[in-house]
Amino acid sequence: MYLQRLPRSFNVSHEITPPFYTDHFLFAEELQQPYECPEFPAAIGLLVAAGGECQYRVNGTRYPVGDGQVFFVNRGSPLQVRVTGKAVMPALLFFHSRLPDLVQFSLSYGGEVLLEKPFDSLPFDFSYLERLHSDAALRQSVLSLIELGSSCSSFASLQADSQIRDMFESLLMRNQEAYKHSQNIQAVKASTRLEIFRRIAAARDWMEANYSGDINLEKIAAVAAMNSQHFLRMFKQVYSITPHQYLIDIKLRRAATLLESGEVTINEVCQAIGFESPFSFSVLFKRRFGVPPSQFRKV
Amino acid sequence: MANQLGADFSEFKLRVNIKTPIENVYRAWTTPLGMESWFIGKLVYIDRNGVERSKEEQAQEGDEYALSWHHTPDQVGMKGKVLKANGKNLYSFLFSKGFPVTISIYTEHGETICELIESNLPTDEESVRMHFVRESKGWIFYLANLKSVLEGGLDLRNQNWDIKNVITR
Repeated sequence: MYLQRLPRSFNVSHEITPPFYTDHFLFAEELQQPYECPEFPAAIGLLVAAGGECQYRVNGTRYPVGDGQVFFVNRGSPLQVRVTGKAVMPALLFFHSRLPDLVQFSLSYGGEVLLEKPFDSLPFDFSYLERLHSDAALRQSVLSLIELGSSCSSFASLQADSQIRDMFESLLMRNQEAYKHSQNIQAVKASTRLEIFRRIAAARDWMEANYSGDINLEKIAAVAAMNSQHFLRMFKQVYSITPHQYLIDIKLRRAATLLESGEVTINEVCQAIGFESPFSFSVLFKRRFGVPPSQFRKV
Repeated sequence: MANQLGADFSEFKLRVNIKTPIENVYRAWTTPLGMESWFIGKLVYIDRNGVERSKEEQAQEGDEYALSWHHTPDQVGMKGKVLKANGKNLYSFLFSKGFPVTISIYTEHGETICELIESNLPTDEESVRMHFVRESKGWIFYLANLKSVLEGGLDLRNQNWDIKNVITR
């Protein structure tokens, strides 16, 4: 991986195709003055920000990216970066141009078939990932590459490469899962299906990030920019459960993680995940994991 | 490929003298137990039948290896293949982005020399910085640690995970 400062332009020769990166490139810089670069066709990458919010304009839509958020940009999507705040650090990680296809191919076919099959069906479609993801861990992982990129640690660049590969494998598995879910949407046009999926998935990500707060169907639907009844129908079509059931599941999964840490009481778990009644929590928990919370912790 | 100054950036050679018998150095490179005592982190050798070798067993030609970084021992950080292992003093494997690394162990003036050659490195300007410079720096620390561990048992690797950005891992 190469760590570089933000260039004045990512596309000095005004190419209409995305640049071919011969390695992973991380462009990051803490800005002391406003920054704006002309629109350019992006390579596959992750866009994050530290120290404040950064405006990434992708396919004509402006996405403010801040704490806990990551934007996955697809190959060829027009991208523009704009930062007005001081001490904000945009970080744009563009993957090695061949890596996404190679990893996707190996995930799809496994080692043995990989040797026999030609790469004639590449490149694969990554459009199901192209959206704003609420994923604090992924954002942190990208930001930690800045430290690795300038580190004097022995084999730091190999560590960075291996971290990027793991990151990308996990993203691709998400892409495959997303594609499967999107096929549940009853829409005639593929582009409509993709747009509906992106909105529903963004709302789901938002639920993951805000599950413990005061949220209701209207608020979640607003994230998807949909009417609440339409959102409810679409969410159920995509994930085969209602948003409410999904929200409960997020809380129960989080509760299980807290119980595994073994340092919290059941009342504290209820508070942390936004459950008012310990009794109903215990009932739902047992239904989900087969054992009551007290027993789960012992196991 | 030599550049105009005559320097060859397609490979680098590093040598370290170690006061220990040749077989100890060979074992330090070819067994998981040996490698874990001085190198990056956890290491597993898989034989041609897909069976994991024991910690004390020596790697053989055709084995594959999986190396984990010290801070993520359950995650494979790098995979590679053993190209040669003669059971005595020559060991070769693929490292980093598939570059061959050859270890030759021999005696010189009464001490054991461990010689490392990493070859087939790309020679464009960016790659030289990335591979020739950074990887040779990485190997220099680890070869010094190999010497220290084999001669006196002192492990120079950083064990304090709060400290980062130091050459000792």
